[in-house]
Amino acid sequence: MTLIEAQELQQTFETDGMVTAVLHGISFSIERGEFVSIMGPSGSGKSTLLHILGFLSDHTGGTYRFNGRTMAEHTEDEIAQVRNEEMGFVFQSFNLLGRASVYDNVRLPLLYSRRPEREWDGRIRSAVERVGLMHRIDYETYKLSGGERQRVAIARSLVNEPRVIFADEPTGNLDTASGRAVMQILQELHDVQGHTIVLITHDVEVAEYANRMLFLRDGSIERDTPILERRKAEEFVSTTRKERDLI
Amino acid sequence: MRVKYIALSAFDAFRTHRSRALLTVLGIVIGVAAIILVMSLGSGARELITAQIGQMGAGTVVVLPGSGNPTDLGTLFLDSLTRRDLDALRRPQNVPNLAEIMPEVIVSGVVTYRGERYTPAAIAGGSADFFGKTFNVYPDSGSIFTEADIEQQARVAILGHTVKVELFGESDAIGEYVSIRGTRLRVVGVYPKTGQVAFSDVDDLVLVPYTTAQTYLAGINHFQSFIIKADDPANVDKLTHDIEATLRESHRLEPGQDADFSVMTQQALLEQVSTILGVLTAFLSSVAAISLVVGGIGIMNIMLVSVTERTREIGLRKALGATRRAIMQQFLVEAVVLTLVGGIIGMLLGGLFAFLASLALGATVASDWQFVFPIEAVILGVGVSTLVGLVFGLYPAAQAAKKSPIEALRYE
Repeated sequence: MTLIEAQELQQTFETDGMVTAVLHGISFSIERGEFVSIMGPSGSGKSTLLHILGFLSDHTGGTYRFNGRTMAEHTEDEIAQVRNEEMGFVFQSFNLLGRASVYDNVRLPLLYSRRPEREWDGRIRSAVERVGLMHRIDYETYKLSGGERQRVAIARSLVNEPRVIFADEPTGNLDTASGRAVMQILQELHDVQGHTIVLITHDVEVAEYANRMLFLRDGSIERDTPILERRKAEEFVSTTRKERDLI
Repeated sequence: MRVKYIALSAFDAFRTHRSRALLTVLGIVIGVAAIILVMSLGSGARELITAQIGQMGAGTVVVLPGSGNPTDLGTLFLDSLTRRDLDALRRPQNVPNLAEIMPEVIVSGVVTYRGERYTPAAIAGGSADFFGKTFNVYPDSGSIFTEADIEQQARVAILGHTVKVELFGESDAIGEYVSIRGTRLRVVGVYPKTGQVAFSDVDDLVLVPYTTAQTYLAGINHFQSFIIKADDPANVDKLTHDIEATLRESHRLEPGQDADFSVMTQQALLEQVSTILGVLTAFLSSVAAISLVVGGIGIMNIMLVSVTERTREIGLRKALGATRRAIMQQFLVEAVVLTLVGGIIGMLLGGLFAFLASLALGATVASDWQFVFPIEAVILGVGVSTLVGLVFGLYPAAQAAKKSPIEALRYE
C-alpha cells in the first residue's frame, strides 16, 4: 500500500522579490513498511522535502498525498492531528524539553492526541522500553548523553504508533558509537516491528542503513535505488549493547 | 490538551523562572493588596459606624441645622435651631409622637481641677435624664442633674470615667469644682466605664445642662442639634413628618423653599454613611486598580519574552500535533497562573496590612474597631487577577499560536 506519493513536487521560496526554486518537480512513492533514506549534500532540498512530507509546510506545485490525502484536503486542526497520530518526528537536535523527565517528554504527543488517558502510561512505558531507556525514565533529559536523548526522541515519535517515522539527520549531533546505537534502534523498528521510516541524511554511511535510497541533488532526484549491501547496525551490536548497558 | 496538563506545565514554567515570575507579578501583588486593604478598612469603618448608628435606636431622630446636603460644610456654624424650635417641638399638638427631646451644644475645651488639666473628646451640653432614658447610661456615683438644673442654668457637670480618673485619680470627685473656659462647675455625678455610645465615647465626655453650655461655655443661644426619641419606633415616619412641618412653620418657610434644617432618621443616616463610604472605597480602589493595569502590562511584556525564548518549544509542540488552540490555551493559562499567584499573594498581604491597620486604629481612633475581611474582596482579588491574566496574556498567546512549526524549529 502506498503511504507517501509525490508527483511533480515543486517548492519555491520568495525573499525580497527573489524567487528561489528548491524542488524542481520530483516524483516518487513510498510503500508502507519501507525504510527509505533521502540522501543529498546540503542545499539539495532534502529538509524542504521533509517539511512537505511531514505536513509541516505546504508546497507550490505538484501534488503530495499522505495516506491518500493531500494537505489541502484537511483543515488546520486535522493536519495537526495527522502529525500527532500518524507521523513521528526525530530531529537532529533532539528537541526535547530539557527540564522535563524522559517520561514527560515521551508523553508530550499524547497530550495533543485523542487517546484515552488510561492508555497513556502503558504506551509511554512500552515506547521507552523499546529504546532501552527504562532505567532512565524519571531522569530529566538535560542530564542524559546525546545518544540517550536521541533515543528519548525516538520513543516520543513511537508513542502514538504512527504510520511513519520521519528522522531528520538523527545522528548529526552524535558521535559514531551513539549514532550507530540510534541507527540500530531504527533498524530494529523497521526490521522487527515493521515500522515505515523515512531517514534524511547527508551521510552516505548513515543512508546505507536503509533498504532504499533516494539521492537528491539540486532539487531533483538523481538516483532512486535499492541498497543491495545494506549496512547492519547489529554488526556493531557487541560494542553498542555493552555501551548501552553501561550507561 | 487536557486542562490538568496545561495547568501543570504552567506551574512548571512558573517554577523554572521563579524570581523573574515573582518580580513580574509584583504590580499585581501591590494592586490586589491595595484593593483588599481599602475594602477591608472601608468595611471596618462601615461596621463601626453602623453599629454606632444602631445604638441610637430605631426610634431616634436627629435634627441638624443646614440642608443636610453632605457638601454643605457650613453646618457647624449655622444657628437655625433655637429655643423657639425646641418649645414648638415640645408641644404635643405639633409633634404628638415625640417622647423625649434633647438639644445638644458641643464645645471643646480644657477641664481643670487644682492644677490638673485634661482635654476631653467632647464637652456636651445636653440632658442627663435623656441620656439615661435613651442610651441607658446612668452615673454610678453621685446623681444626674435634673430638668430644674437645666432651667436654672445650673453650673453642674457629670464626668465620664476617663475624665474623672485623669483629674481626680482615685479620690472622690462628687461635690468638687472643675473649671471649663473660666466657669466653675460642680461635679454631681460620674459615669461608670461605658465606652462608645452612639458616636460619642461616654468615658471621655463631660456632660453639662445644655442651657449652661449655651450661656457659660459657648456663649451662643442656638443649638447644634436636637436628638428626639419617638414614642414607638413604628411612628418614626410620622414623627419625622411632624418635626419637619413644625420647624418649617417655626422658621416661617414658604412652601417649596429649601429647609434650613434636616431631619435624619437612623435609616437615612445609615444610607448616607453607606453612600459616602461606598464612594470613598470605590475611588480608592480605582486608584489601586491603576497598579493592576501597570502590572498587567508587565505580565504582557514577560509573556512576550517567554514566547520568543520558547520559539523552539512551540515549534516542537506544533510539529508533534499541538493545534493553535492548544498553544493559545497553554500560554493563556501560564499568564493566568502568574497573575493568580500574584493575586493570592496580594490578598494575603492586603489582609495582613488591613489587620495591622485595624489593630492600630483600634488602639488609637476607635476602641471597638473590628478587623473585617470582606468575602467580596476575595472574589474581586481572584476575579480581577484572573481577568488581568486573560486580557494581558491574550496578545502573547496569540503570537505564540501564530508561529509556524518549521520557522519555530529552525529558530536557534
